[in-house]
Amino acid sequence: MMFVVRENRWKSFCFYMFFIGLIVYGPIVGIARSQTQVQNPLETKNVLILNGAEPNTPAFESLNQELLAVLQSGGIGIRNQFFEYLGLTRNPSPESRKLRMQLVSRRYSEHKMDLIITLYPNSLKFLLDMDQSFFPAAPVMALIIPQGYKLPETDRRIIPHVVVPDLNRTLEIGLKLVPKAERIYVVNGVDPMDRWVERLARKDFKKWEDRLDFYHLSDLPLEKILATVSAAPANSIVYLTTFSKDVTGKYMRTVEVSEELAEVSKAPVFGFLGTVIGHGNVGGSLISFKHIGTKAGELALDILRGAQNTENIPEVLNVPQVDIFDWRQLKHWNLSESDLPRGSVIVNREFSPWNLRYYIIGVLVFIMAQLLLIIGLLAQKRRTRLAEEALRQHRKELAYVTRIATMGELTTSLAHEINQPLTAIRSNAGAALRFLSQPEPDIREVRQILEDIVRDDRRASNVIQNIRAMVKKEKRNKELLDLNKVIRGVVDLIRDDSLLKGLSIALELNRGLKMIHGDPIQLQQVILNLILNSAVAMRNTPRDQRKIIVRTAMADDRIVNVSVTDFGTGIDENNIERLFEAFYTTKSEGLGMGLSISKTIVHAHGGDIKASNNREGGATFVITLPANQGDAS
Amino acid sequence: MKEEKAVVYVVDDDPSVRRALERLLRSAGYNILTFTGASEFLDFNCPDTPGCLILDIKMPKLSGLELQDRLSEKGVFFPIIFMTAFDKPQWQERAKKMGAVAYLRKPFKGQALLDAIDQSVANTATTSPKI
Repeated sequence: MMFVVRENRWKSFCFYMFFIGLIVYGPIVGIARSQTQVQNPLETKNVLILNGAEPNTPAFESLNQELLAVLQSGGIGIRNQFFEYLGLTRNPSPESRKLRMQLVSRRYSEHKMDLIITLYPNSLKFLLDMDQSFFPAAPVMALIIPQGYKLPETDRRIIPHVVVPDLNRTLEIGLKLVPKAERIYVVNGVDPMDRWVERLARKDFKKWEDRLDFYHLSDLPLEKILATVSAAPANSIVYLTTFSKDVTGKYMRTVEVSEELAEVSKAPVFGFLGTVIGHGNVGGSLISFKHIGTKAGELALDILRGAQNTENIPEVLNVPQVDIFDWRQLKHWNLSESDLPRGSVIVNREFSPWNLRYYIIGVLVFIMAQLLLIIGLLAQKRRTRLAEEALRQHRKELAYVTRIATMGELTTSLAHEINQPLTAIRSNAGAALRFLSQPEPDIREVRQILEDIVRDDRRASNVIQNIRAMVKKEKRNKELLDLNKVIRGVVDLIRDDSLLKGLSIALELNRGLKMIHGDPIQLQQVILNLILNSAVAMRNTPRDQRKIIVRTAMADDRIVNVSVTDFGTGIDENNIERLFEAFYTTKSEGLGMGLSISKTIVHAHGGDIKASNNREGGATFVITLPANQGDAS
Repeated sequence: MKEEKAVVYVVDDDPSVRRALERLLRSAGYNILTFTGASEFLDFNCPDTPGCLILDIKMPKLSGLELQDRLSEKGVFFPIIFMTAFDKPQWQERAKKMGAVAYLRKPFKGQALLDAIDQSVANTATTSPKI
């Protein structure tokens, strides 16, 4: 049992932590990230990036962007990164090349380079052909070196990134996505690099030739290529590898070719270069220049950090191809996402409700869970409130029933108590009329009669008020009361009462008295009863000793005491137990009800009332009431 | 006639009632003696004059009905008028059975009491009281 309880607690703990985690975790991650950028040991290092091509060449642009970002995140600011675009393809003349070399060495003569990164073999060759005095100590990271390219002899330290193209993998994936494919159109340029790729492709595709028909379109002008592809039958795949120049000598970019192919092709176009993604190409196992940029950047940081410790730096940088697909193209060609290799990167995903279904379901589940939690808490709160309400109601009814039960005992005497003064009033009135009808009416007698009538009338109405207070099922809530105030109110009220004439009431009220919960009218009644009781008890006490002391005190932290002490006849010890019974009275007049009612009221307030004789004579009545557990009044 | 009026004994624990009845009966010309309780009346030596007894039923210690019993035990017979502020049918029955002249529910008309007294005094006039 104990175990079950603990498990439940643990479960609810986990449940709560889950929600708290959702709220708290995000910001923490953000903080952690921003803190990693604080230390900056590389801020004085300079990196030179030599691009063989012009700016805005798509492949190198994405590589450079990523490289820049990684270097920057490693602490090398933009001011320490020097991107140089050599434009070697477009300006192949030896003179131009020479001028460029002079320009570069002049441009960077006022800086110290800690690392040189070259893109493509032509820029590496350019660097190596430059004056040996151009930062000879700086290591060279040579990116995009085709497999089989022979690195020139040099004293410089070179870490090449060797591209080992795998053209098969895209085809394998393509065949999985288009199982019925039998015709493969290979679109290729005629630039040396294009030709190199084509050679590799032809070699790689050999193993498929018994199964598939390959159409290498590199020897056609682009228009013819597009025309061919636009007439491709349904069981075809178009495979765009690299395309920098067509057979007519027109320079192109692979990206543009991809777009033109997509426009006319009757079959899905797969690719080989990462740049084609987003340009009408389905994708495939791609050489991702962005990915190369990332890896190169990371290696560059390693080199710069541990330049002395060369053993940790690899001799060659390998960057595997990445399976990347364009979601829109998959949809366009109705290709199933589930046929893609595991770990594929899918880009350009459109977030239609259907694609978002798991997120939406997740969010809905989250909201539902929260809703249930809230409903649960509300229900619990409501149940608690209802229980409290019921309890309060029961208590009220109980008090009422108790009172009624007490009333049952009292009824006899209540009737008695009302009828007595009424009898007196009637008889007095009758007597007065008779006296007045006499020839010489005794006016003094009549006056006394009238005074008696008034007194009896008050007595009767007091009884009625008592009954009202007793019987009325009070709707009024108990309120926070200062008993001292209640007592002062009562004493002010009765100071002029004839019963109390020649009698002093001393108040010894504790200033630190705590508040109590109670009905002010009822409690006034109780105090009044006790004071009048004491007054009657002292009728035969010598005048100078007639004194009532009303005290308040804290019995302890939780209990408030009110005591009424007199110096009268005291209580008959034999009858002390019957004192609070209804109609027990030692007085020749009165109800014998005052103490009974008082007790009922005090009990209804959760308190008690007790009586005892004083040593020095007289009696003391003590009321105890529970204090409000708040501040002192 | 008024001088011959009998003595009326009133036993009631309520001083207001006693005072009022005393005044009423005095205004009607009766001689009246009041007692605060049954025991006080028992202790009192009734003179050998015609009279009647007005008894409150509900009194502390000894009730009016019990007082009637005690008086019968002692062989004292008065015409008795019972009065009560609270009515119980069995009381009235018992009072009648014991030969009460009247049974008055408080508050009663003064005249009703006076009539009852007149009636009981008239009775005592014809049937001499046994003491």
